[in-house]
Amino acid sequence: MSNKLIIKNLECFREERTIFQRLSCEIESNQTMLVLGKNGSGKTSFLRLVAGYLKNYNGKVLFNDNDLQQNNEPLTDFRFIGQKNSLKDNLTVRQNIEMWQLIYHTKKDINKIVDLLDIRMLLNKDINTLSDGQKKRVSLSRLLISKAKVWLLDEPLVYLDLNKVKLLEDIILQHNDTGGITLYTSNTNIDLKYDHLINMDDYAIL
Amino acid sequence: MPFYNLIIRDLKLAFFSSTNFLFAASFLILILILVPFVFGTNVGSFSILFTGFIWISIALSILLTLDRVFNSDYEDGNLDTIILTQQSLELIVCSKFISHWIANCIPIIIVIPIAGLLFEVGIQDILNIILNVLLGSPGMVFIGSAISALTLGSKRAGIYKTIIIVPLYIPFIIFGSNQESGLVLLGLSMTAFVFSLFTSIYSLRLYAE
Repeated sequence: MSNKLIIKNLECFREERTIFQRLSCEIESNQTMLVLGKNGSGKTSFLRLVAGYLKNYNGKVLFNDNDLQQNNEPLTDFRFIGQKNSLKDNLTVRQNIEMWQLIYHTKKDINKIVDLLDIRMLLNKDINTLSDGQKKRVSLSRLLISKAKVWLLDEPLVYLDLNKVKLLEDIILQHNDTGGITLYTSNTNIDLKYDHLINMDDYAIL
Repeated sequence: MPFYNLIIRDLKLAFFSSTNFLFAASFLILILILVPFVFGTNVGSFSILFTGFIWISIALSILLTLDRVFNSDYEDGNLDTIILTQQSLELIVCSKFISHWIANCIPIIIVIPIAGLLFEVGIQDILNIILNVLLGSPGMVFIGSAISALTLGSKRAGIYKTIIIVPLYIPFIIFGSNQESGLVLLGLSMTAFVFSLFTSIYSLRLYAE
């Protein structure tokens, strides 16, 4: 199964202001793309645009030759993990994962997910007793709950220590091996393995 | 079907939160317990007061838990997650309406007959009140949810939200206290549904960016 994401001459607006322009790139199955850039250069906007939240843009985003702007179907092939953790503070980790299972409409066994992300010992703890890094890992479990072809990760490495970065890298490689595509943004010096690099500073209008 | 899943999710969240199903019902009972102390026991026409207090407690119970409809999901990022699943925005909004109504109005409707008997309200009157509440309270939920969706982007909108919503509740309360105006309430609720559905979807589209 091979997938292909093509972005042609993209120009993104927010409230009449142009964020970036002339952005083109191509990414195929089994590849990772790193999106770099200064603060405010439009990294998050770029990911949200590809995920389908932003509709106000010129240019084309083609996924397997489907134009996403023409397409009014929901983008179930895409999974966006933003900087917000999507966690309910008053619930335990297990309850939070159950809530996501309801949203994604799956009943997959969570044992495997829990081991992959090394959060088994946290399962029965309340979210507000966790550290930021632990919350981030719980939040990343949304990637594994149900399958999506394209992962869009906004700053996934923030708060993670080196071991956990390695853990995430393995998970991403595994996802890519099954035909997946991963795009992620990063501000830190530690980077995951990547095949393509986009520097938003080249396209941003500041 | 994922639509039911969203309702179940919201109901579970409501159950786990500190203001759960018991909150709405106990709110009504607490208000009613205080009434005799305020007015004394010789008022005679408790049944008129009774209808009024039912509507007040419904309005309060909807208003006080309004943050749970869209705001909490918006702030912690779950709304992003929900929008990207196979739901259309219409279905997301409808599921929010339904779960909020179940969590806040059903408990009150269940308590009405018991509380009514304590206040010596006749069976026929109780049935009329329940019918009115069944027809009118969905409209109040719709309006509350729509306004809270419109104010999603502004922080600390709590007070403004209440100031905007309460005047819109006045028609419901006026016609709700009149036992023969069930059809008017139905009409109000249906109008509110159309208005609220469009405003909520518009705001979700706006704030999803």
